[in-house]
Amino acid sequence: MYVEYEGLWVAGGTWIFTFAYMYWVWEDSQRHKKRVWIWLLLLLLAGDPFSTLVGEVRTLGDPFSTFVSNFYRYEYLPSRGIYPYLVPLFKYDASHFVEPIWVLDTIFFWNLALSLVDGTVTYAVMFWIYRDCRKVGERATPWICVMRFIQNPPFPIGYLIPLGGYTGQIFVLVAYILRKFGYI
Amino acid sequence: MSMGPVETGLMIYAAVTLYWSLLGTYMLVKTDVISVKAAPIIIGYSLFAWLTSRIMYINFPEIPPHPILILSRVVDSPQGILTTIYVYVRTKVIKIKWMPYIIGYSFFLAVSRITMYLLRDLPVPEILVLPTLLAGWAGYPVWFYVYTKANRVFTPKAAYALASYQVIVWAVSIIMLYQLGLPYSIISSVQMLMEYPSTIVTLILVDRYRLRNLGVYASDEL
Repeated sequence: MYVEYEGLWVAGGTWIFTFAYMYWVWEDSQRHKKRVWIWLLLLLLAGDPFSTLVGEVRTLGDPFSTFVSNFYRYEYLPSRGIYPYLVPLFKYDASHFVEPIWVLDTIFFWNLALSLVDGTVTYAVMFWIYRDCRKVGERATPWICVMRFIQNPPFPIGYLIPLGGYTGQIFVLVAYILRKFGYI
Repeated sequence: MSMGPVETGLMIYAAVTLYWSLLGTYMLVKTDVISVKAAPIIIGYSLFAWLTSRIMYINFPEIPPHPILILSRVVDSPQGILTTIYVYVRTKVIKIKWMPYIIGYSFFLAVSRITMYLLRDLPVPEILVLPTLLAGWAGYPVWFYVYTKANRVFTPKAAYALASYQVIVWAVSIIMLYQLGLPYSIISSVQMLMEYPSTIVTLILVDRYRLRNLGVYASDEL
């Protein structure tokens, strides 16, 4: 079944969006001669890659999620006294996958389809706001950074303000349009 | 030719990767981040990086890590350059000479990968912890070139202070690993917390340097 190879099912190409909005944020801040480090910190806290003095691409993220994700990573289980390496090395063999479990697979690909919708709406809104701001001479950085931050906020903010997916982007888009026409 | 479930899944994810690559590149071109001529290179590289990582995963699922770690950073390094140095240079935050930078970056990338290869036989979990710590240091000289030689983002005093702090972070990781024998989940959490001060200070200094060049700060002191 597909879920056994969970790590295999990763789509590429999303790094291009990070590239794009990092550029937009710096370019926008250069044009308006405004501070940017606070907004970049928001991006970092949302888990975006960024190189610092240390030289490796890394994120800040939050310590709690880091702890949880590494607690269950089985490469690190030996440090907790569990030795998965004592079993023979698992080798990829497509013949192990003769009978897909359709329910799980359906859920799995439904999530994939939803992530396509979420991502498309998010990046399209960011793109539109950046271009609109550039056209009218407004600052785009706060909008871009807030959009990215609420999409993937550090623990426990995500539980307090559940605006993940594209829900938060719709809120930001509505707020932007209201501000654009002078209602807020 | 009939495809099994794995092949079908991979085809679907390849299509998704192509979709993200096309959409992202379209946005890059429309906002003048890259030229139209560069678009096929970005799309081609994006597909290549995804395909390489999938092939590595199929051959080395989860473990052992060193072939994946060694190759993945090499394959991913153009992304790092594009999302940081290219953005910095293109938006005129900093200036560099590309050739010395690329040569230096490639050299130290090779150093870090060779370090990781030499340490491949260390027992688990050190195989993941120590090489990462040691290889990470190979990136320092290039960043010092960017921040202190090519641009005066840091005063020597600030550069030494940040470097000293990184030494402390490194030492704390080693103590947690060998003296205290803490599990990696705790070590990684503490490491992440300890990244906050140096990252924030670096961001502030880069920002102040940028604003000073734009004429917002009159003072030249940091």
